[in-house]
Amino acid sequence: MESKIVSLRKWLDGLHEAPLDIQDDTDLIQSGAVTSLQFVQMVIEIERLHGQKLDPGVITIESMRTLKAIETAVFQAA
Amino acid sequence: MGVNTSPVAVVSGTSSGIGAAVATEFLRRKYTVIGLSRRGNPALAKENGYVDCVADLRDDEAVRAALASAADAAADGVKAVVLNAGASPDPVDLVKVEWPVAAETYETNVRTALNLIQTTAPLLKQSGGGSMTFVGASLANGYKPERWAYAASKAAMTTLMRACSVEFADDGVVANEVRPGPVATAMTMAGLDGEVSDQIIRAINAGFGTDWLKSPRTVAEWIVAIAEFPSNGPTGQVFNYSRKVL
Repeated sequence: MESKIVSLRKWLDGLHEAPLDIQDDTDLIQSGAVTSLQFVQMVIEIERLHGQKLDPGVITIESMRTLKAIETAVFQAA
Repeated sequence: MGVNTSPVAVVSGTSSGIGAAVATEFLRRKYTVIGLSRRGNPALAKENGYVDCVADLRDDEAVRAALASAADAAADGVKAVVLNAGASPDPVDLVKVEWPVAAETYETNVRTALNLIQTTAPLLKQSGGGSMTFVGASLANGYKPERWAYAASKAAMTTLMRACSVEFADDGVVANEVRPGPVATAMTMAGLDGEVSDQIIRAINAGFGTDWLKSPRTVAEWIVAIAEFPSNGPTGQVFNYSRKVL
């Protein structure tokens, strides 16, 4: 079974017609990988992968800025 | 003398988003709310003081029938009408816009408003005056050509609002428009089926540097405050909460 972060990377890739090179430390916002509207959908997807609602304190721009930050703040912290 | 003694507000598009939030805010301010929408709102329908009327507001007969069904609540007239119902088609290049899509958008947004105005104007007059508050969009300025169909319908709404401010002034009715700017609703965020949390909204505002994204609840407070303007208050005005220049 693939890791949650790999699943999230695939989900992010699926947002774009052309392939994106999203590294662990790619700034998802600065790179344009997610728009502000897609950010909401991304949080919903993270919660789905995580299997539960995120603690409100976890949802900050810094903890959601890169896949590495998401892994640390959400998936590894579980 | 009617059965109801609290002020009455009529709000369109109350099944979700801004309309539902406006209805909730009116209830918080002790109004009786007649909510009109195509899908209804089962959650609000459980609230004391909320009258859930399911109707296709593009159909003038349906609007009249819906308000007739709430006749007890509106027996002494209506103090506030909020014209919120509307739809936004998917963005498309201006050169590819199909006229039926533009016409349907106009029908959904403008005809809906006109039907509600024509049905509720006598009720506003009956209560000695009140307000019509239109939920507009800064897009009406036309700065996004791919949203022209929606923008044009919203521009027509602005004209309709100003016409109402003149037409019903002698009845003590003020008419104004609120352009809320970006709001986190299902209409603006495809796939969203619930409320966006305050934390997500804060993160977006902190990280994206976009025009201020707001919750429907925040916008509803402004809309209701404007809907409570007195009959000698501002009328024919556009209140813009977007960074876009009017």
